[in-house]
Amino acid sequence: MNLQFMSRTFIACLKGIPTTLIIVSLTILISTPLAILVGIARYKKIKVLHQILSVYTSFIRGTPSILQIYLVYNTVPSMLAIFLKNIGSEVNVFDLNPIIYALIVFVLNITATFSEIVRSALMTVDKGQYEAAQTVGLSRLRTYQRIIFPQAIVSAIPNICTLIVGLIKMTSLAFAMTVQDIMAIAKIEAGNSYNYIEAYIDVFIIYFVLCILIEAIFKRIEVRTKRFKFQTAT
Amino acid sequence: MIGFNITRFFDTFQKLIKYIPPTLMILLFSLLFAFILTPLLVWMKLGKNRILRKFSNGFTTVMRCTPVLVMLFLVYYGLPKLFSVFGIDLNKLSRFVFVVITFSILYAGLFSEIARSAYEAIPHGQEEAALSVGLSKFCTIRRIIFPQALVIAIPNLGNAIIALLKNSSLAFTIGFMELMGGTEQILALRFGTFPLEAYTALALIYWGICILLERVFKWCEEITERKMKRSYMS
Repeated sequence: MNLQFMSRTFIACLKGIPTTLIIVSLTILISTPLAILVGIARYKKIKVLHQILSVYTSFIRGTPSILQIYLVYNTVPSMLAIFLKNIGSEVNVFDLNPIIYALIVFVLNITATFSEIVRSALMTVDKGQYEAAQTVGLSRLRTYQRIIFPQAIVSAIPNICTLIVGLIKMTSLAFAMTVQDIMAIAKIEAGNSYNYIEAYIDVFIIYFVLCILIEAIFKRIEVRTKRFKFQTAT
Repeated sequence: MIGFNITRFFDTFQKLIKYIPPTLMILLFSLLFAFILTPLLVWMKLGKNRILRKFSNGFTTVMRCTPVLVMLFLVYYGLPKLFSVFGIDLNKLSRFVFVVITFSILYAGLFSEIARSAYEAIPHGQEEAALSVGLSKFCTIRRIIFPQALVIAIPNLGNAIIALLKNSSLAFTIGFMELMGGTEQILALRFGTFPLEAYTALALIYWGICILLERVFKWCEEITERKMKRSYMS
């Protein structure tokens, strides 16, 4: 064990954390509204759209994320290049930050998983709740906003926590798209000096701390949102 | 470049079929060893010994918070180094062994948590009743607890096994030839041309296997539920 190398790489790897967190937060930010729309569309079983969306979710959930990454990374840039050429843009595709491709993959991936969470959360809310809200004269939007969502969120929170932890773990694959995240930095450092094990222990520690933090945050949110929980009259 | 070459697609598809067995082997052997480890971890989690309980809970947390890729590298580079201290040379070992070790410990952590939550979902009276009619402790677990816990655990177990199948695609990063590695090799042999066709073929294979597994678990769920109902009736 080369402890000096280990501590030096640890500090180098810390520089990758912002990249990882940017990818995670942007992905969550973009895919939350999408997932709610997809989830509602599937929950309400809207014709045609429901079928298309279930094929989409099934495909995303049935293929490895590394494959999705390769699929996007090998095809989207060249398509984008042709598209940009056609509209007469001067932008060179290969100068673009690879984070964009990472975002495309992760948003597509997380939207599918998240929409399933939304759908199952909506299903846990009792139908009587919706009907009761309608009878007291709330509009449909208000019913969702005030009655359905607060209750659905409670049952969704543990799943959302798992989702975000999964996303953080998934970002470790972004190095395949030349994104300079924690994993990529460690890999470069390790390859330069053949100290593989030390570098990966660093990465292991960083991911572990990140995930523990997320779990702790969600534990607190869970306690706070308990009050929205629907109590059955006994 | 954007066109889709059907002949290339079928060509890759055919070549990829011989890489399905290695992927399934990873799945099978990892599950086998994970299922051997799981009862041990569950026993520790439910036991009275505080240290063992802390250890197994910590084990689950660590396994849940580590990206598969990081764990794979840690095992692949770390184990030979660890064993070389004792003078045992592991460098000649097949990569398959490292892959199986990684997935076994990762998923044993997960399975033990699934098993524990399933166990806790069973009313305590079941165990007490079984013990009071004179069944032995082992017999109670085998005849009363296990069948009921299995029914509760099957959906989660199914999801975890499908996730394991998808994650097995990362084994190619340490050079094990499974579906993903096979695709990379096929692509390398034709100098990286037609990536879209190759990855689509691979995606379809994974998707097919995943849908198949999903069906199997649905079927298991229905069968066990029917059996439970029948045993309640009589």
